[in-house]
Amino acid sequence: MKSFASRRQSHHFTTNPNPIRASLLAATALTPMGAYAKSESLGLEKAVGLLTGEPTVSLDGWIAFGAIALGLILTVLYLRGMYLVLHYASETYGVSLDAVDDAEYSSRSERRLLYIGSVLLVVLSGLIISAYGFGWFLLYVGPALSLLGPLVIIVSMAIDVRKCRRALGELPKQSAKAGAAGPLSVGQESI
Amino acid sequence: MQQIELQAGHQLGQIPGFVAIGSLGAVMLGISLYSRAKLVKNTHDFVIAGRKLGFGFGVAGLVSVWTWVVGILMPAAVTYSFGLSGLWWFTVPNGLAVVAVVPFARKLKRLMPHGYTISEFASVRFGGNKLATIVAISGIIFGTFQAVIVNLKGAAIVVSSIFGIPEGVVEVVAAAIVLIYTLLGGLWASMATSTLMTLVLLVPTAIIAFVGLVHAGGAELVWQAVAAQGNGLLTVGRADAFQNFGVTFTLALITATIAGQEFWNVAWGLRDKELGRSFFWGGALYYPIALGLGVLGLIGLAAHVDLQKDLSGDSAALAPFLLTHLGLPSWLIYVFVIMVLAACKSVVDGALTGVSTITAVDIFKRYLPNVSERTRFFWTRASMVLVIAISIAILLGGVNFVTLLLVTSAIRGAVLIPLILAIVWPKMNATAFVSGTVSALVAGIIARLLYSNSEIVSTAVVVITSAVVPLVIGALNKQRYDYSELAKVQDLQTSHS
Repeated sequence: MKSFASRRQSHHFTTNPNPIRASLLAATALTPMGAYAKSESLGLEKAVGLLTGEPTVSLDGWIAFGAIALGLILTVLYLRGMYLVLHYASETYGVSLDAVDDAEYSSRSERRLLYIGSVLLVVLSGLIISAYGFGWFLLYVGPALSLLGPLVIIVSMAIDVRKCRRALGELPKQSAKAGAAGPLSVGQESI
Repeated sequence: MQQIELQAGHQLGQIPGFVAIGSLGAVMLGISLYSRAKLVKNTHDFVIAGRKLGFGFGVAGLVSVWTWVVGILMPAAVTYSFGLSGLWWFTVPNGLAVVAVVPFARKLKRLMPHGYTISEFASVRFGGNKLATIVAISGIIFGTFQAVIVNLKGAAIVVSSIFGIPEGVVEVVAAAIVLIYTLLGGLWASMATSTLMTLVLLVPTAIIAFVGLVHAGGAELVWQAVAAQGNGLLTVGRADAFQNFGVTFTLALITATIAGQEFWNVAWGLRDKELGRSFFWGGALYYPIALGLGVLGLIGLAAHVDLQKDLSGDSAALAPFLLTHLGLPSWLIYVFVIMVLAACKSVVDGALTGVSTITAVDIFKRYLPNVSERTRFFWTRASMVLVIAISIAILLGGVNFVTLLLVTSAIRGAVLIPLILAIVWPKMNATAFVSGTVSALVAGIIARLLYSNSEIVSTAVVVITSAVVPLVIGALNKQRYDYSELAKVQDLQTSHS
């Protein structure tokens, strides 16, 4: 099977027969780079092949590669969030966070979105399973949701960190929403 | 039509297996040590995380505690067995079971803000009635053993089939790792490691499904191959799936959450304002995992995997079979093993934390309130060691633990409605609670013996008996319970070390 990238290249060349482009490609073909490109796939394509275990990369292979790349980015953000939550939980040990009003560290629309999102996901999941039966491309929906799942926790952890920072006075009061609670009472917990 | 070619499977070797288990254990231990150093200063911190769990750890911890090893293996298995109907009936009740806790947890947390365990609630609610407390504790303890044994066994089977390490060795090593890091950090360690495990569950699920589709020849080929088989595999209306996963399965799931101390630990450990949305997302985020892994079931159908020849008659073996026979790169197989181990460890540490809370609260706080912090801390941890030791003895001793699992399900099924009534109905009393639970248990066992082929009958008997008996006794009760009594429950007395 031809790779996705090489299919795209040959298609472009036949529909746009530009002589300059053709000569450039011909010259490149004589260089070691050209030989590499002909004998081996491009670097990225090689990486995709290595990661997915596919000898020649298909469209599904590129999708899988995109998922792996996005997964790595989310992993970094997630781990950072975890570290910050533990760090600020330690910093606020003995500080009552219940005194921080929701409105002081997260907007109303953010809170509403989080509630609606969870309810929607519960309702939609049943529909998504049914939708698998409607067409092959819908099989990607479930795995895509799973890939994006950590985003919810990253946002949740960011909200926690904001709350802790607010309790510690690291976030300025002016960032608080209108109608927020009065001065924050930060006292030792009686445990 | 193009066929999906399966390749000869091979084991990856024992040393890489130990490296995988050990690496995950080392990461868990590191997180646990950090949590302990920064956040655990007394028994209150250890058992309930100082009631300071936030939204992020709450959601992630719940997803992880709820995702058992079977929660990873079954989406593919039920899809393979019943098509999309199986996936639907397995998945939808799963998330709803966690969400179902929300109204009860909210009410109980508001009424009893300094509570720790559901058995403590039963004790206070029924004026210290010993039988009622014993019934509630029995449900929790049996549930703990169920969680520990089933997950260690499930993980051991998968790891053993992929790396060739004997099952018993995997069980002991995995249990030892969980025990060590949970002993160090308690609920904080459990939630922090579970948060990491949730990442390990969500992202790899997607990658395994995407790369699995690549190796099966693409989503289109898989879908068409399944559609060509007909048999209602791509619809959600198959009656046999409902019969296998309908009422009985849903009830089992709901009892696991409402009567499970690991969930109440999180509920009381969360900051007040985070409870509702944490449980909503905790339930909702299991769905993507099941939806993603269900795709493997369709690949199994498309590849015509033979249940008897390839899976030895056990459809739960489908996911590991496909991973080792689709020609996937080795790193992805390691990722899957890490996923399975992560699920096992986070469920086991949640169960152990639940037991430690029971020990600290239902034994020490109630009967030995004046012992030193040091002694209480020691025995709180010793209870975890005891649970692991008994579980390992059952697993290695070759004891048939199917009976244990059936008894656990029966107890939890019988206690569910009386427990809910205790939370919401002021006329419920100790007699109604104990009679409802015990009579439902006895009636359920009799129904099971008489109608061994129909789980629906025994389930219906348990549900109806456990509802009718307490409702009748409660209706005759003229006294109404004053729920404000629950507010008198106090935190454990602590001295910062």
